[in-house]
Amino acid sequence: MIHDSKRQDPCAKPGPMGEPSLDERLPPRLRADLQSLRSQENRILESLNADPRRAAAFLADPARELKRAGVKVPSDLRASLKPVAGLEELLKPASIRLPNGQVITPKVKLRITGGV
Amino acid sequence: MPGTATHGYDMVIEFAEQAIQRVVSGVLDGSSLFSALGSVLDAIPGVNISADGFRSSINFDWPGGISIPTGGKPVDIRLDWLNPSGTVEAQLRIVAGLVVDRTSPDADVLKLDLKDSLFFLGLEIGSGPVANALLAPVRNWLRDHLPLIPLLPVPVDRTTADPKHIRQADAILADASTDARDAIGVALTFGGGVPGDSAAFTSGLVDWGTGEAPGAIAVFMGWILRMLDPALDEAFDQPAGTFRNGQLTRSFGVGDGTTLTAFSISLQNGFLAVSAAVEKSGFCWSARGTVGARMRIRIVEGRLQVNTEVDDPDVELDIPWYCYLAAAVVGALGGLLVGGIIGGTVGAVLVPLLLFALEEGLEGTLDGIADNIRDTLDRLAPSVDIPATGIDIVFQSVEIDDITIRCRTSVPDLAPVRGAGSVVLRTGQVLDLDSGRVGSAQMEGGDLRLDGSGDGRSLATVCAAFLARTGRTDFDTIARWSCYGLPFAQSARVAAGEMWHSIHLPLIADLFVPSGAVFAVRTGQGRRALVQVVDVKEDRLALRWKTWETRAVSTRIDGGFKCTDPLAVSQAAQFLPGRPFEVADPAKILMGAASAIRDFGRVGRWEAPALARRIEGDFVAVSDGFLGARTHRWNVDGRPLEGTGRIAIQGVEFEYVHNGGQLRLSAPFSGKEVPMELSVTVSDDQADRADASRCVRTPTKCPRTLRVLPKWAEYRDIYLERVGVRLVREDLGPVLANLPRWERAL
Repeated sequence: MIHDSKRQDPCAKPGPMGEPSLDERLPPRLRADLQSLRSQENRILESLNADPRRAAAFLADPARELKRAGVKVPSDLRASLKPVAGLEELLKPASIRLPNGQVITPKVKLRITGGV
Repeated sequence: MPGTATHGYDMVIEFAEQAIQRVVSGVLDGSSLFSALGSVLDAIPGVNISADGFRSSINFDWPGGISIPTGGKPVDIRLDWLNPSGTVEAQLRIVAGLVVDRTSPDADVLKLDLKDSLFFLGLEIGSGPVANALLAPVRNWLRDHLPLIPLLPVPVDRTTADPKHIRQADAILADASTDARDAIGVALTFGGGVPGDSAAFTSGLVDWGTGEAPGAIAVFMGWILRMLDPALDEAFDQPAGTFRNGQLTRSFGVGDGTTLTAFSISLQNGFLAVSAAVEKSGFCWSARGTVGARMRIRIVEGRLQVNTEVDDPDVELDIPWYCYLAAAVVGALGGLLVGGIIGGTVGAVLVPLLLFALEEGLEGTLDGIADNIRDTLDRLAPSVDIPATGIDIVFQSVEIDDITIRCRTSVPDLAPVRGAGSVVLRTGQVLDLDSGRVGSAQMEGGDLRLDGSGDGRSLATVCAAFLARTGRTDFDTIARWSCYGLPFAQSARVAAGEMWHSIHLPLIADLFVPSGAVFAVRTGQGRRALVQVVDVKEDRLALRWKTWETRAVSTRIDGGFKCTDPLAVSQAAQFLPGRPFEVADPAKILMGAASAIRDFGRVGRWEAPALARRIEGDFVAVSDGFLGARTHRWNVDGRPLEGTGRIAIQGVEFEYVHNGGQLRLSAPFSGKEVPMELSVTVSDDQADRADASRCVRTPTKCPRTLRVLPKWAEYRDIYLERVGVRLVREDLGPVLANLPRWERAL
């Protein structure tokens, strides 16, 4: 197995058209709230990756899952994190039909990782 | 165990005893050598042979009680001399070594050596074994007239580094614990390879079962990969060595921001296992997809075809929590939809890449190997003086362990035909098979007479003719030698029920359907003949017949020109669309062209016209009846050819090489038709002589196409255009709306 490709933190990447990065687009107070969560990163990752369902639930409703994990989320930030309607369903991978008619269904392992 | 079938050789071609028995019988019968050898036996005091037929049997079991030198590969041959009724008059046993003759510069010849590797010679007649001391004339005769029985000439290039060309052939003999696994054959080493262990073959590649004259070919996976690796390097526009032994040695981009990080092909029990992994990242996500596939190979219309069964892929999707929360806050989650990521990573890159490597890369390589096998066995070695025996191989089925192909072998019948045709015979008439004449019952020389009427008709032998039932219906493939051992009977009679089936339709008609049964006849003049009823009417029969000649000095020229050393013109490669998502059902197979069968369930394939670089004419003087040592004189347009040299014919310079009965003429392909008259004079030290001449022409076109491996980028574009990513779930409309066109279901 070869791993020589360099992975870049997608958050720090500028957009495809050269638009500002995510961090640059955040309002300063919310950025500070987000930065404050970094001190709880270990707890966040441990909780969300303990069960594949937790990771998926995090994507669907991050505020609820962070609360369940015992992570203290500043109120302004919590108010900004709205549940994503129907996302949990859309996270299910679709099956793919091959030219010979065979249908394959990818098995997806979702993992929440640390970041900048 | 996978990977050990060839014991380190690149390719192994094996034959069962029946196949070799056909070659030996063909050599002995085609040159009337058995009758000459019979005369030698007859001259031994106390031996009296009046037989005019023979039967041979071949055994690969290790002969007990006979001293065999170390490394010797003994083949046990028994020749029975038969009288007209099929009774054995004498049995000659020859134990000779299987060797490879490397004396020719451009051929290794697998042969039975009756001169330098004659391990045992014995003769048994009705009264018991003949004393060894009396067999010296037989030994001398074999040395002078039948020093070798060639089994398979293999063209070689002893210095080649090209994995498509054979460097060396070695003899192998497998004496297994069961006869069904006994085999002999050749183990081949191609350019870039090293010979394996020829002594390690203790069992044949396959269980022969009851197949007729079977053979098998095993192909070493390592050799396939020696050809596949550089092809994949080139197809992906990567430096040499990126793929080595079917493994990826360094990752690289495969387009659309995706990186191929792993690829491997390995041999498992009964299939090839293939796996690949790619990585791709996007906004707030990075994904790694891995997928495995099992590949089986089958024979479709005589060609090798890969069938791929893909496993469910594994996708590891990493999402940084911080990035995700930030994206959620600014409302930028639109691109983070798993269905789209799967479609873009697995459906649009990983799967087509796997299919590209297998169905284009590997199958194309196997196709090339199959063509190579055919070309190799097609070619006669020009500098080896051998009778024009040959073994044609037809692929039947394939097993993976290494890749083993079962095949059927056939040996052409070289016995001279005196006459053949069809005749109409009415009740009371007789047929003379020595002349093909039909006449009244009083006609002299008749062999068969039609008696009776309606379904009471019968075919009876006349005068000195004998008849036997062959038990076969394949008139064209019955060799003369295979008739000798049949139970011939004088005063034989064949009833209507054996020749045709009657269907009586009251008030309408009576139908007579020929059974196809073939009958062998020993004519009044001692020749062997075949007859078969092909049409039946109320008052007459139509008979097909063929009569072989007895010993007569004759020769003829066989062979012709063909294009060789084809090179695909990649620039002119054409994409031939397949029929993705369509399954080949029997009705479609029946209705469609044979080649179309391969296109079902496929994106398509790429083919390019082949540019022939040379034309080669292989010609052989097929002679019969010569008993002494033969010499051959070849001429082209009346000009003699001596040994090796060059000759200009109609402005085209040909190279020629001949050694005895073989002649090869070759020249660069020019597209110009060059007619020429070839002639040969054959003579021997018994003052026998025969001439033959024949007009031949060089080909002006070489209509052949070769499979080519396209560039990956081209394949991917066509795959996405024709197949796309077919997501089976229908509730993904919103997801698909966000994807580029080619990522959507088409």
